[in-house]
Amino acid sequence: MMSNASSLSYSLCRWLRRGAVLLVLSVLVACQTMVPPAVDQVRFIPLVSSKRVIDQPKIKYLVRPDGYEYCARITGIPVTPTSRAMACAFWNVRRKECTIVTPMETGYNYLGHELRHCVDGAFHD
Amino acid sequence: MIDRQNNLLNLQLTRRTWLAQAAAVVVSSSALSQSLAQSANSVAVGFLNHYPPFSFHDRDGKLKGFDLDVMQRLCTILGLHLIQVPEGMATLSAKLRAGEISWIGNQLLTTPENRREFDFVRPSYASIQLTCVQHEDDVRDFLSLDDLAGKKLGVLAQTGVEDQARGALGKSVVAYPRIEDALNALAAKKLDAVLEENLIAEYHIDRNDLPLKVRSLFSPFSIALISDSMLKGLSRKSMAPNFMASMISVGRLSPLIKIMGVSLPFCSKVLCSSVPVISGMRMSSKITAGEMGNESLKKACGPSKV
Repeated sequence: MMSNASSLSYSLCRWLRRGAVLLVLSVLVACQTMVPPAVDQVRFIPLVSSKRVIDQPKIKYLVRPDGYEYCARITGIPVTPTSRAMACAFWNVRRKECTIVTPMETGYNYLGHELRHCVDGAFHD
Repeated sequence: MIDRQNNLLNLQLTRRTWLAQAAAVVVSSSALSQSLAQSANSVAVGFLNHYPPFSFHDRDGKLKGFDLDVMQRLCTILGLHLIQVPEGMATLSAKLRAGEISWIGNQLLTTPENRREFDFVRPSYASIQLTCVQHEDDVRDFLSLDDLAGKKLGVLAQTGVEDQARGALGKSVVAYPRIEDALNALAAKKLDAVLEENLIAEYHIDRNDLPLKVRSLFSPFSIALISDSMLKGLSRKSMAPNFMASMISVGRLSPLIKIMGVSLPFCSKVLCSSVPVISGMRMSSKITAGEMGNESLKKACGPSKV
């Protein structure tokens, strides 16, 4: 009986420990994913018309249920526990067209970031 | 002088001696070309003989193409004389194995089969492997095969794209032996879309003035690779990265593409690394190696302005 109780408490402890580790990890992940890219944490001066990749782009905005998956596919950035493509854009300089893709839920910062791509092209590392 | 001529005329050329001499000429010329290919100052590079716009014969029968220009530039940078060897893939593969060419100058996909046969070095440039081509008037958005359910999709026959498309869409996929035919059918509105690599599609659209547009991306997949199993006289490890670094640092790829007249509306992630014309924004402070980039790389994206 005693041995049963001790083994029960031992396994309970093990599960609690695992739970705690998972909790810490998930908090860390959440913290990390809440950090916006450095490029979005600063103000910037928009490029003058002559230096823009597309001066007056024709922009299409697509909200897709498979937004995360699509952006992961075309950017080659896989969806991982710590990061995923929140939005993406592709553009055709010759046709002066730009398409922004986001999942169903998005934010101003993502749209703004991608909109800047449509005008400035590849503006960040 | 006359005596010598008479002596030559007096030679008895039997069939056996003629054959032996002919064989000797063939062997010596083959050995000569091989030794030329392997000499320090020249390199024999294989190219597919019909792979427009990357390598193909123009109307004058001259071999030209984007891959040829890239390889020519590589050889110029390395101080080597480029010997072009245009052949079909099977022959190129055999010649590579026999050491008659040092590498293949065209892009090859890094499929498991190709990896078994070839060693791959760093990419020399990139293109979007799969884009959706639509009619100029078409405003629909096809971003995945799911979006194309029930639509007529044109693809190149006997390719992985055909297999995948058929798996997802079934009989609505129309496979063409030549991509030109698929694009012509699309221009005639007999298809809803065609999936093709962006550079190839743009080339045919430009060349034949087709009322089509390269619309959306289906994959980021890229890449032109110098494939090789025997880089004779060259250091495999140093060659391609150095070549790329020097080409990119001085922006040499841009005039190359302009010379070809191939528009490159989508600059890819591999060449431009972190400065893809396809941009991906993600919620993480981590930046992977593939995303790293710099100003010189951005300059190399100049062709996207074409």
